[in-house]
Amino acid sequence: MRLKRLFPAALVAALTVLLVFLTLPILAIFFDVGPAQLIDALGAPGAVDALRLSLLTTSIALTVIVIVGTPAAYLLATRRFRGRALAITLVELPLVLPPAVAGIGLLAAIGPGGILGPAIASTGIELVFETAGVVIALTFVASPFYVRQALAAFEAVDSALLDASRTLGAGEARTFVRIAIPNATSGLASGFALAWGRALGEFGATLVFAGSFRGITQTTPLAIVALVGSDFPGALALSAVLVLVSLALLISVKLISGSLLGPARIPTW
Amino acid sequence: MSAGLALSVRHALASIELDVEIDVEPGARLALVGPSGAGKSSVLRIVAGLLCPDAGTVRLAGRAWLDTVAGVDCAPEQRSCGYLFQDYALFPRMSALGNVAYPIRTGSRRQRRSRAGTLLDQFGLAGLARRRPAELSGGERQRVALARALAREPEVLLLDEPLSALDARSRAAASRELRTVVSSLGVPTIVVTHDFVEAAQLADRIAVIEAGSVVQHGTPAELAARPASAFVADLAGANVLSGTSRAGGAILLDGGARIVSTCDAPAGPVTATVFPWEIALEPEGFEPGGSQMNNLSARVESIAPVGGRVRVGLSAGQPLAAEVSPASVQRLGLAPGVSVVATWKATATRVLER
Repeated sequence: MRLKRLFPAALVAALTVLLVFLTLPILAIFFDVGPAQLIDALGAPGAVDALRLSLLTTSIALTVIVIVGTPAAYLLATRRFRGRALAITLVELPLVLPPAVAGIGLLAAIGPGGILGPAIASTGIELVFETAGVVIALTFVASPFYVRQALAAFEAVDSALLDASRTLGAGEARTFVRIAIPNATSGLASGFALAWGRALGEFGATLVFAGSFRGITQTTPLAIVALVGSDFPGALALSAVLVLVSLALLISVKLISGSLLGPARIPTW
Repeated sequence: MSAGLALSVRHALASIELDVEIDVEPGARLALVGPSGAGKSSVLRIVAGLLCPDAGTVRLAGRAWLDTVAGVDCAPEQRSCGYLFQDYALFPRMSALGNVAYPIRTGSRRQRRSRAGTLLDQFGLAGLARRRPAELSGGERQRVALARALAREPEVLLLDEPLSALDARSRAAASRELRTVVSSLGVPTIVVTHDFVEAAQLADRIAVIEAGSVVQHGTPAELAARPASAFVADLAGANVLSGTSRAGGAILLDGGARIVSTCDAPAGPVTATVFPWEIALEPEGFEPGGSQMNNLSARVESIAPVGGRVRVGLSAGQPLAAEVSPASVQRLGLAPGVSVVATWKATATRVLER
């Protein structure tokens, strides 16, 4: 009888500890500095540069990820071929790779001394310590988040819809654009938001591969680390902005998947 | 060379080997009937190009859509098939109008939409053009799907369990409509169904498919009256008689005889069905037992044991089967050529509009 009451209490206690532990640091960012101080700190030139660079590089990276990742995910979702499972595993590999290792890998592959280094150098493109290098690092680290979601979203599209489209005279490309994508939008959008969130927070691979140069490769997370020692309020201010953006992304994912994929509102056929 | 649809294919499915040869003339309607998993839907997918078989050919009016030896395999969009999917496969994010306009590719956007609108009107869906599939009833969804399948003016019509997604109430009306539409098109049509009566209503010939092979092929009445195997007998179940309904429940059968039913049917062509086990056999000259009994003079054509019973194939203007006990066979001295009277109650006669 006593155990019967104890167990629910233990569950509640566990959840409470977890919630406090997870939200305290986030709330602390906002409580430690006042709003006025936050806005002041954002006025610092380095902060604005970092935010602008983050916006620029994540936008380019996400564009590349969507353009290449969407058809790749569609292929993986709609065809059965030898090596498919291997291909999916390879796509997911960056998820479990430590970011610093990803950065080292990128250096070894396309850095100046890397396998493809001479070939890239001969085209005149500079990657290492350049903004383009940041984009490469972000794309590498964030793409699995999008591709995985896109794969699941395309797999969830009723294959009869794709078949129907074909018998109604649409070729594969038209079927992809007119039927597959519109019926997978909620999954694609949540993958997009997750990948964007991951790209915004990217630190390790960017630092190793592109370095941390203000205005060129110093994205917001790198700027926060650079500021921690010298300008703690400035670091807090940038962190607060990242928290707000991340929160907005998380909420949009919830809204998208909750309202559009929720079984209660729209039948999934 | 066939002017219609001819296919001859072999294909290994998960647990069975599909091996069928089918010929459907222009305007003819063939029903593929069999249990689920027999390979019926695979045949439709092969015709439509959604499934490439291991070997075989699919030709329409002599033109090859598929010829594995010659290396011909037209993409689904290059074959002209109107395909009605089992759950209709309407595009959930498009309106009814958008669905029907999807296959229409010629003309301006306005022309395409107006053509789609005309089609919706023809199918009695005029007020529903803006509705999403989720906002339509089962019968409405079926009609949208049919309008969409016909929008391209297909040269072949493929119907996969066209009535199975409907509830019992809308099924009869939908079946009638479907029959009217399909028979007015004049293109080779294949209907897949597991229901023999549905097949008899929608098609003029039935191929019974079991474990990937066609085990019997004929008109619904032939199959019901002279099933080649216990499997077909079981599947066919009911006798199917065609005739014309008159006022007062009387039906004039094609071939001259007159029967009665307690079903109300408007005057016009009908299909009457009666189960073989509801038919009793009496000696020749047996006198009618009341106005609510049907009495049909018939000649015994065949006798075959089915389980513990005996299935007697009869000819009564139209083929007819009765299922009787072995004792009755002895009592009546049944043998091919013997004349008997087949009797059954008016209440056992179901009538379907044709």
